[in-house]
Amino acid sequence: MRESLLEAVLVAAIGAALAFTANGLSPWGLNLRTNYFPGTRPTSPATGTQPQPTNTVRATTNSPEESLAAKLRANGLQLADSNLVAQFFHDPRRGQDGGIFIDARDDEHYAAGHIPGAYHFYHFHPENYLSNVVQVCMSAEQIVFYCNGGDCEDSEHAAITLRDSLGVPKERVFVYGGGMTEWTANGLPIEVGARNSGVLTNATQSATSGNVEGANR
Amino acid sequence: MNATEPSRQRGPLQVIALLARWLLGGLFVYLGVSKALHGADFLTFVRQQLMVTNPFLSGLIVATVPWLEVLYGLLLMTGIAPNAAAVLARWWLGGEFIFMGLHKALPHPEAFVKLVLQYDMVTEPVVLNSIGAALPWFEVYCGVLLLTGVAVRGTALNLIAMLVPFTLVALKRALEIMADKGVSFCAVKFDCGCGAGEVFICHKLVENTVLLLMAAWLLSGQGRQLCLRFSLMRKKEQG
Repeated sequence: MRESLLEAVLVAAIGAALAFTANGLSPWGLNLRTNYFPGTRPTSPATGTQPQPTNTVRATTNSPEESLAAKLRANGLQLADSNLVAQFFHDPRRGQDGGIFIDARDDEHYAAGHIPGAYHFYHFHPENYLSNVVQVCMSAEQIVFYCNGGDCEDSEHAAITLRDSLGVPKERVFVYGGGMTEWTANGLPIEVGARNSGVLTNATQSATSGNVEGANR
Repeated sequence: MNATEPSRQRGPLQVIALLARWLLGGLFVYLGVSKALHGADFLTFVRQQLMVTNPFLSGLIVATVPWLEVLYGLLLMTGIAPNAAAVLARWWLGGEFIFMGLHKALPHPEAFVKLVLQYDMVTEPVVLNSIGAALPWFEVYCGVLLLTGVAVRGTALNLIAMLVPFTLVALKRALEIMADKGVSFCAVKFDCGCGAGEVFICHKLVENTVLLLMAAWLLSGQGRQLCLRFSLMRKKEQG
């Protein structure tokens, strides 16, 4: 048994070294020092019996939207509902010095369909996206971050990351809580592929025919 | 029983080993039959999680794997060809860990970090990121060692050291979800971070018990055939 223990320690030591090396070499590797989940986290009701860390927001019995708004407020962010998002979207100055949308999901999700004209910022690999969003973030009047909606927190983390690293004023930063799920359910246009690719579809069409090169725009 | 046949007299450890083998065999039969009875679910798993999109190949896997599991379970229960069964256990365990590790590491290790975060056990970024960065690749490494047969007992011990705490925290999480949602225990389904997407907790517990028993079996010194170097301490072992 002693030999097995010794062997296990040896296997673990070599394995740990190899594992960290593999992570370092992988193009998708994680940066060990980066805080990928900035801001406060709500405590789930299921874990309510545990001692609460000081930087958490206690989940209440409010509606999910109210809970989300409270959580965002605690992080200095504003919740954008579907009406406000639609208003930003139809603003003729959108994409210029008006409002911009930032998709906080990964490359595959972004390519599969995003809000037309939305910029892309995946905060787990900021180095790949920062150059595309820095200037527009500095000049935009409203910046709306979104991800899939529901339990997805990527939009919130991306918003905090960009706001804090670029020094964007708080009042300009919004998080669209409903996210892509709500956007799609509302039958609003969806852009497929790269930003401004011109390949548009909408929820009704995508449900029946997949990607449709549309005349929505 | 003839008193001159010492091999037929079983000590407590041998009885435990025998019971463990029967249990492992029984669990394999259960897993195989369960997959055969829920063929559509297994097909979805093969297509979505194993990413086998070819209809012929996915159909072949769904048609054969459950019965291979049943056959292997019967092999264990009857005690026929124990050496071959142990080697198969080593390869099975190795293959499973390679798959689970790669599934977590590529292409989105951050998804695994999010799942670790949901357990509310680690919040320090450096620790959290280290788990997300190293654990998947460590699983792949352990899987390769088992497949090739290098340092088998030490690797098996590492797997046990990973599986036991992980199973306990997954169980704790499942109990929390059960209390939160008010559903029965076996109806609890969530992505536990094991690399196979959303799973029913009861099924996951059976699977982990199987993995643990196989690792314990290898730790006991079985599965020496077709090994590159079963023990790193070979000289001492030979002495």
